[in-house]
Amino acid sequence: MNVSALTPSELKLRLKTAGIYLQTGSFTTHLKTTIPSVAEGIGLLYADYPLVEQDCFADFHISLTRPRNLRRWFKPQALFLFDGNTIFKPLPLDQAFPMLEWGLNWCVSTHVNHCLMIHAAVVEKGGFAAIMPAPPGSGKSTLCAALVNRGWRLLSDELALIRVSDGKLIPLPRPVSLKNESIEIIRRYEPNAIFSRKVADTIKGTVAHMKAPADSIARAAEAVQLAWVIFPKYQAGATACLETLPQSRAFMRVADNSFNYSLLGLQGFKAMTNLIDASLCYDFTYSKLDDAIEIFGALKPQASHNNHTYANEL
Amino acid sequence: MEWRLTSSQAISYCSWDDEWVFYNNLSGDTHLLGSVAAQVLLELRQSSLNALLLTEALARRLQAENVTDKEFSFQIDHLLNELNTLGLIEFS
Repeated sequence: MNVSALTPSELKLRLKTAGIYLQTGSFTTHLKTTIPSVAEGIGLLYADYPLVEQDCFADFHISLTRPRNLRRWFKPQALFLFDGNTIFKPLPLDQAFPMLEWGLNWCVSTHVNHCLMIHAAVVEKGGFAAIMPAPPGSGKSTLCAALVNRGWRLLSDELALIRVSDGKLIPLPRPVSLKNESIEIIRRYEPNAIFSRKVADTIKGTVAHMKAPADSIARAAEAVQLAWVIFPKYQAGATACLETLPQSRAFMRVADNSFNYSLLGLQGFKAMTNLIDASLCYDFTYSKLDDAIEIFGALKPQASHNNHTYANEL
Repeated sequence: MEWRLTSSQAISYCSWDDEWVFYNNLSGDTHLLGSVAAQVLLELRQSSLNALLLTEALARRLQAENVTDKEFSFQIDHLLNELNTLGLIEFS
């Protein structure tokens, strides 16, 4: 059963009482909230996600509540609880839904260590995936949103999960986080895309989330082979340019964008070596989304893995 | 006095073209090294060496023509100190 099977009032009631067990990729989140805007956001952006049987195992137990302090009468706030514990400082109530999204990212990025985890968007086409690691402000999510509205499958706009055991990418398709000018750019680019309400004055500026394509959600169990590592950079007025990046340099930059490379130790090094070895690596500068789509459409996976030298224990 | 790989260190490495990525299990650090630095580590993997013998061995590996060249020796000394600072090699 998907979230969409519940009416808005049923969803709101269930979130308020027993909570829902929401399946996102390979993770189950037990979620409770009394905040109407969160229930509305879930109803809108998570409509196509499966609900798991009540009271089953959940990877994360989350609730969003309103702190019962005096402020609630003047400047109401939202609080994110993980396993019943406060993790972050409260935010203005208006920011409750973005807080849920940021909190879900935090749950994965701090608890999932059977994967090498990179701060990157991931998209797939024809059985091959591109990861796009980049710091905030580089246009990663904007490019990701454009690609998934032009035939690419969304694996994630935020977290690349590379299974250490076989190097495959595990999908975690969730709403795409857009901020400031990017929101209107993508609205214009794909008028049929579904967005959450804009929330202003967050730590990231004005934010809105775009619903993940239904097909990406339906295929969330299909792990995929990595083919490209692309470092995107939006630059106003720039001609789209894909430049080959030496793999050793790409290794260091991907490691810099990883949440748990150091934590995984030698396992992380080996996983990263395999990842880079399987990939063609590029720097990509762009200003027009259509140009970017065209260049991504022309990407070809490498015929065979490169002949790198690898050795253990000097 | 000889240079050697830091004791108890199990370095893993990979390389593409002329650049090498080394993982040091003692520090948990990953280093991007050029080919000369990598050759120093590969040479010291075989045996500990003093600076002079190491310079000669590297000259053979790198096919440098004049091993007495002061600049070459100076650069190797500098490199050894840098690798020492990174905890990859030590003086015994």
